[in-house]
Amino acid sequence: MSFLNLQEISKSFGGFVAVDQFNLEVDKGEFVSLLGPSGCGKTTTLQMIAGFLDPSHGQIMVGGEDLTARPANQRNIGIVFQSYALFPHLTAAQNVAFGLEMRKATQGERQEKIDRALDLVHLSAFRDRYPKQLSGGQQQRVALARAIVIEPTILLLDEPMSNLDAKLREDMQLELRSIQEKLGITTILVTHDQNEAMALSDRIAVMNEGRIVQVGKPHEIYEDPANVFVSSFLGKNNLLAVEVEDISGSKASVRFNGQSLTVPCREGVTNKEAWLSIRPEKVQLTDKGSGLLEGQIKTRVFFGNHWLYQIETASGEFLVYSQNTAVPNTAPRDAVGLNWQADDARLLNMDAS
Amino acid sequence: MSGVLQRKAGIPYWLSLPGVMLFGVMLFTPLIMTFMLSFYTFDFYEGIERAFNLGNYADVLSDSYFYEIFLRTFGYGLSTTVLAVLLGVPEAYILNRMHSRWRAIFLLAIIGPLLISVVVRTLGWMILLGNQGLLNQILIGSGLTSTPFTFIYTDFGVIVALTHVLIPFMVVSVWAVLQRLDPQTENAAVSLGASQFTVFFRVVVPQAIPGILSGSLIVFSLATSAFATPAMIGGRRLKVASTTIYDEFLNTLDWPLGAAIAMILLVAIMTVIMSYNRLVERRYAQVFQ
Repeated sequence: MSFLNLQEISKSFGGFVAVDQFNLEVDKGEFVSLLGPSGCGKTTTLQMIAGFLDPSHGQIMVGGEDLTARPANQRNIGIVFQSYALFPHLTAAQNVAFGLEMRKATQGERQEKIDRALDLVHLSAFRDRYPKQLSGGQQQRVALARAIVIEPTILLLDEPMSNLDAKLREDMQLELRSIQEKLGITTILVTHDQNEAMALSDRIAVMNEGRIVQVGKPHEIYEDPANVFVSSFLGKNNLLAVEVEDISGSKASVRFNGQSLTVPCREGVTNKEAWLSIRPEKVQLTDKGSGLLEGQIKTRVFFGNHWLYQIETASGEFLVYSQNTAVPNTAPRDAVGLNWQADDARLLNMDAS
Repeated sequence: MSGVLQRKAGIPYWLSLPGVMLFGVMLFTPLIMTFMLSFYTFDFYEGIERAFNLGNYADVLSDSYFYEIFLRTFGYGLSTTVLAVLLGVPEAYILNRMHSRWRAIFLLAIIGPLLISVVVRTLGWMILLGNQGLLNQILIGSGLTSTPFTFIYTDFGVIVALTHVLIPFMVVSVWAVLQRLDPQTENAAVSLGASQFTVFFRVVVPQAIPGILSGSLIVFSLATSAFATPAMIGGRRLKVASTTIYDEFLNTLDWPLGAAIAMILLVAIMTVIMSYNRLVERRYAQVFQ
């Protein structure tokens, strides 16, 4: 039996369906991300778990208890908001103390828990500062300490990193993950940032238009996306229109550019025409005439750890990442071949579903 | 080059000249003239004579009659301010949480009184609160009392009417602050286990302090210097500073004494406002700077 169980949750505002029959089971201590573009219903789902919105249908079960009708202030759920939502009139320590005061904790117990929480987020030295006197990263740590000090059953994170700069965001992601693992707290993260979702989560639920499109471990979803939406939302990919010749089990034989290739195939691909999806880092540049596709280098950009190539082919533009192992001997306008392992490509339906 | 810069640097001063002149002519000149007038002497037979003595101030400050008037004036000011905070802050909070369509209607209802002449509004209160007024008719008609309650010509009546007149200033200044609050702080408090009641008193009100402060200053200074409302509802018996000044100027014709009372009122209001401001600002300096 899973710890958090969202059963058939729907939410509609007037005629607009924001969340449509959402099903998700989360184990105790698991870190699950709801990932999707803005307006996909992920924040609405989070607000229903928190109790700020009532679901139109469905049930929210936590540890076997039905929370659906329970008021938000009795759910014991910790939340870190996108804006942090710190109380500006209280110091860092007083912010953290708020939830403990609501629980009528004794003075001694309160002090001990505040100390421990601030210590965990490395803010002990800033306990008497007001939020305005703290940097964005520090404010976020206070928000995290305030959410975990009440020992919540579930921790909800609503795009917590979106206001931090890139460098700080990476540090905070690592730290957040280590704190979450240390406390073993069941966590739901809402984000539109696929890197953040992949870096932090045990599992990702990719959402689109109010529905879950695919749930799985980050690398599973990345390597084996359910459809074109997931494959292009989670990282970059190259799409090649192919003709399906034959499907047998999890393998399909496809034809493009006058050649045949046997590639892995998910269930559900039925059409004659399909997309072959290949990740840019799985494509190698080869000599002209020796690859699966022929093309001409349009641009070459250096990113430090890798080079990015845009390559013009007869089947459209291809994106190629190659590791920065040596200075490449290619230059723009060179004719090159593109090659990849057949097992690295995925066959996907042309329509999004 | 530097000549151009210098000429440019002078422009803001030239641009502020009309404003300075307006204030100079309309505010500072009469204020200074009133100040000088307060040192002149008055005699029933001789009239006003140019002089410089502190007799008027001595008269006011040594007479318990005037102390009673000033005490009443500031009592009204304080009670009105307290009532305006107690009623206006929740009012502003509710207004802020309303659907925008309803908010427009209610905002008009709150600000509406400011668009009507203070005399007309006060007359309205006299009709409501009078011995033969609507309120007493209801009370007597429903059998709650057999003799009418005296609302008019009482402290209660004056304070109620002043609060009604001045509460829009409180609502608007608190509402302006509430609009800038992060609404998520309320959700954060709820998620930490706070009831709606606790959220209001521990999260909303403390953040609204700057608005409550500025609203209180406006309400207090307008209530202590109000004329029409205390004159009409308070009548001749419940004199306040401004009605006393009026009487000195227009009935007794002792302009210098009236001017001295006016100066004392001005200094007293400014002292109260500035020390209150300093007190609250010091308390909340770290939070709101």
